[in-house]
Amino acid sequence: MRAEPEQPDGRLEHLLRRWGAEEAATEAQPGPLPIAAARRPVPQRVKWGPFVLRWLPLAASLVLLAGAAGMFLAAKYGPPDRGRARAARPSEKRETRRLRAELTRATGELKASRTALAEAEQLIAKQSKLFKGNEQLRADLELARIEFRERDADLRKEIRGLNEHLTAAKAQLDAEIEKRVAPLKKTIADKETELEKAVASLKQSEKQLGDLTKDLAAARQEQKKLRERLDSEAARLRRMHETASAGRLRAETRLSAMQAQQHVLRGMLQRRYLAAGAPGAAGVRARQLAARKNHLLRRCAELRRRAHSKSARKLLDTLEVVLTRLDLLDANKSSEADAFTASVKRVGLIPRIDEVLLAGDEGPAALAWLLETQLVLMGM
Amino acid sequence: MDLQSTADRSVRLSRQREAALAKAVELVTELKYTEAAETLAPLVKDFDAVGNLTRAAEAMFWTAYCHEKLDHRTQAEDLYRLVVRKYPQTAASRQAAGRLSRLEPE
Amino acid sequence: MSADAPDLIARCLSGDDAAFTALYAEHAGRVKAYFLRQGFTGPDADDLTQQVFVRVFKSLHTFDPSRGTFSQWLGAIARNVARKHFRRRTQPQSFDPELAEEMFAATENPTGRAELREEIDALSQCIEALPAELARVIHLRYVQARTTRGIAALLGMPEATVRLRLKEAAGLLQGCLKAKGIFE
Repeated sequence: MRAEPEQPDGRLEHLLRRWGAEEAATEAQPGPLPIAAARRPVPQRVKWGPFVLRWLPLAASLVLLAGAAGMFLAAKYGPPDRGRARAARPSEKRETRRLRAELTRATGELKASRTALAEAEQLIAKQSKLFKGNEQLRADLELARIEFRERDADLRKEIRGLNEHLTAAKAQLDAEIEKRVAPLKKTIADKETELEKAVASLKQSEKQLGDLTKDLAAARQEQKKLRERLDSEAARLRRMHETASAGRLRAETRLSAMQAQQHVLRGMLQRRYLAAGAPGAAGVRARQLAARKNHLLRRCAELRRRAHSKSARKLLDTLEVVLTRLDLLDANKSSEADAFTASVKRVGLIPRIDEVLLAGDEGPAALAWLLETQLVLMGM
Repeated sequence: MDLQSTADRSVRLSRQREAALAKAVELVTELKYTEAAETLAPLVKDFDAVGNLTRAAEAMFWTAYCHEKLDHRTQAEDLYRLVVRKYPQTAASRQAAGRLSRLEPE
Repeated sequence: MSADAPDLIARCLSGDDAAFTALYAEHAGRVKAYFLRQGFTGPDADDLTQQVFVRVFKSLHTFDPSRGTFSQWLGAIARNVARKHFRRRTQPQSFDPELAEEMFAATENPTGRAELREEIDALSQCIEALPAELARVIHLRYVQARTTRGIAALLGMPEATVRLRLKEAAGLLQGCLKAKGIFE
């Protein structure tokens, strides 16, 4: 928005503007008058032809007229000549007639000349007009050429400016594109590198796959052989198994028989042991008395000190508690006996004693004690 | 509270004490001495309070036994002696005397 | 010799070189000043002045005195030329186009012209008597036709200071012209 100055008095403002305009026009100092040569009228060349054409008939007519007039006047006012006067009178008349005719002819020619002159003047005027028109056209053409050249220069300058602008814009655009493309190029380059690595890795994987395939084929062959061997082994083992099964069956049968026999023997042994330790007693009471009589608890403490294995020591600890509980039992209370029996079974004492007995790692005293304890606790 | 209720309550408490003692003895059988001793701790007093000396003696005996197995020898000896002195007519007292004789130096 | 005299134009039309020279001498300055006041540079103003007079010489025969003065006709041509080349202006916002048009304003009344002449001469004397910094802003405003913003930018001072100085100068000039009897 153009800022307006503080407005002085309107009249002063007017004066200042007029003064300023005059000063500005004076200070401007414009350049030289333009195309002075184009505006200067072309000096007209003198054309003799039209000039002659214009004036010759008139000159000729005047000469003839002057001649005719002179002859007329000479004939009229010349010195008399008697001798020749009479003889000349008819010739004078003829001469006069001839001169009159000449005059008439000259007058006619003069008229014709004047007419021709007027026509020539008209023609000259027309030619001048045409000439002026040509000059005007030439000047117009020159002006038009100058304007065209100026316009052409302006347009070329404009085109140069536009080209420069376009070049600058293109450079800017290229820079912008480059700026935006550079990270993309980098990303593409990185991705290409990754791709190359991936391709290399893939090739390596393919090679590995090829190797693995070969290995797999070899392994399959091996597997096939192994399977055949396995099958033959399996058949052999099956035969062995069948043989073993048969043997096991026989062994199991024998074992069952032996276990049954052992069970019977154990039962006999237990009865004898309890009868020896608690004659006349039965049930829990017999077991209590047998345990006390054979000092099982006292012997336990000694044997524990000499036990070889941890499992044996642990078993002895447990058996000590069980024997103590047996000793503390009120044999008259069946509930206590039932609870004790359940506890013995829960702890799995009889099989645990069998394990240690079968292992045979402990000394004979310990083995005997274990057997006695088993006899006391067995069958509860 | 009427007599019937009192009696019922008494029976219930008695069973609880018996069950607690049985559980403690099972722990001893499983050789879990520390846990057994903690379970046994209040039972001596409980059984004493109701006059069940046999069970009180057993509770005290098994407590002493746990301390013996945990190598708390002094504590074990003291308790064994207490069983012998306080509950002389019980099986636990006999057991305690036997164990005490094996603990004391010859 | 006034360019509005019909004989000068007639002589130009008849191809009188001296008449052309006189016409150019009388009006070229105002035409160039017009372009300068429109914000064109000196060389551009010269170039455009030349273009104006080419057109003047080419179309002088179309000037009709009954339709306006020669100055007004000249101003129209200058305006057309300026419009065609507005892009070439460097700092158009620094110049006041209203003052540019002043270059082609004319006082038609001969009596008024004489009074104006006297007043302008008196004003010129009063301006010469102003302090230098005030005379400068008057010159920049009314001779170079700059806006207050343009003056402020040129002198490196706030626009408010420029306005203040113009107001102060106007006050002094009024007093001076009163003293000379121009103002009452």
